[in-house]
Amino acid sequence: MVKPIRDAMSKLVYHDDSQICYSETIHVSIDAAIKLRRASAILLAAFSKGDEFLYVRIDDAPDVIQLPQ
Amino acid sequence: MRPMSSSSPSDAMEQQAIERVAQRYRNEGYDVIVHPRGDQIPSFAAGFQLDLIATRSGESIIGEIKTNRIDLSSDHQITRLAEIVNAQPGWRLDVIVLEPETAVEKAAQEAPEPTDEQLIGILNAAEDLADKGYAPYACVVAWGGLEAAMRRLRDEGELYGRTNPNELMRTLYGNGFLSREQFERLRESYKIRSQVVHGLIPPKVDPELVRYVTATARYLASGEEAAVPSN
Repeated sequence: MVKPIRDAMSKLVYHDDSQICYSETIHVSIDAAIKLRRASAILLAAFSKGDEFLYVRIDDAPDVIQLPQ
Repeated sequence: MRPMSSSSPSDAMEQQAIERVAQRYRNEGYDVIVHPRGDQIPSFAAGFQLDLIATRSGESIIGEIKTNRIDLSSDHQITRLAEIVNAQPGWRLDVIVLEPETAVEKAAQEAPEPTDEQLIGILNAAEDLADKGYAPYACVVAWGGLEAAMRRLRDEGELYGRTNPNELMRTLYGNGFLSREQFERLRESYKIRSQVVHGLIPPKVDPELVRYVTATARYLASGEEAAVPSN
């Protein structure tokens, strides 16, 4: 699922998806118990609606990349 | 964003949930104010009733606690609060949804609860099926009526509890609405109901068990001390 999304953002968000140096992907049930840290209005609106959705957040790369344990 | 007073058992449970979340923040080194008032509320959030504020060197959080996604959906101010809080340097909004939403809760958003007449119709249909020799299927229909009766009692009694059948049953038993005997026999019938729902063939089903379920549903729906068959 990730690759087509990355490709779709090429030329729009970055020149090429090879520029991505770090990414995280999680799948969460829309009905799950969850903690939304720094919950944005758009994320809350989508979550409230109850339909499955895709949320993409693009940020500067962290200074230090911590690999999953 | 909730009322600040606590008067019903469900409110008390919500307060406990907020306290549990507050403790988690404290464990991470935050100073926490539960239900901040007056000057404790930052000016940009004036007018909002907040669940908690957590602060730690240079980092401040407004925490909103929701029972489930439906509770979140019914809060029409939360997106506005998110815009305001996240725009403040050093502040962020955390939203904690405590419980997953069950399939029953999801279905209930698109289908109304039965009226008194409809509930009686469901229970009559179950008894009719049992009388005609279809006790296993009657058990499924009877449980449909029982679930509706249990939900109604839970809501009228302002009891805190999930909507799935097992937890509803435990909530009513735990609050004294069901006797031990009723609880045990309903659990027995629920096992049969689940077997039939999932396409399994249960062992021989006594039609009396179906009538026990419908009688219990009628008793719960009436709110009276009605006699429930013991066998």
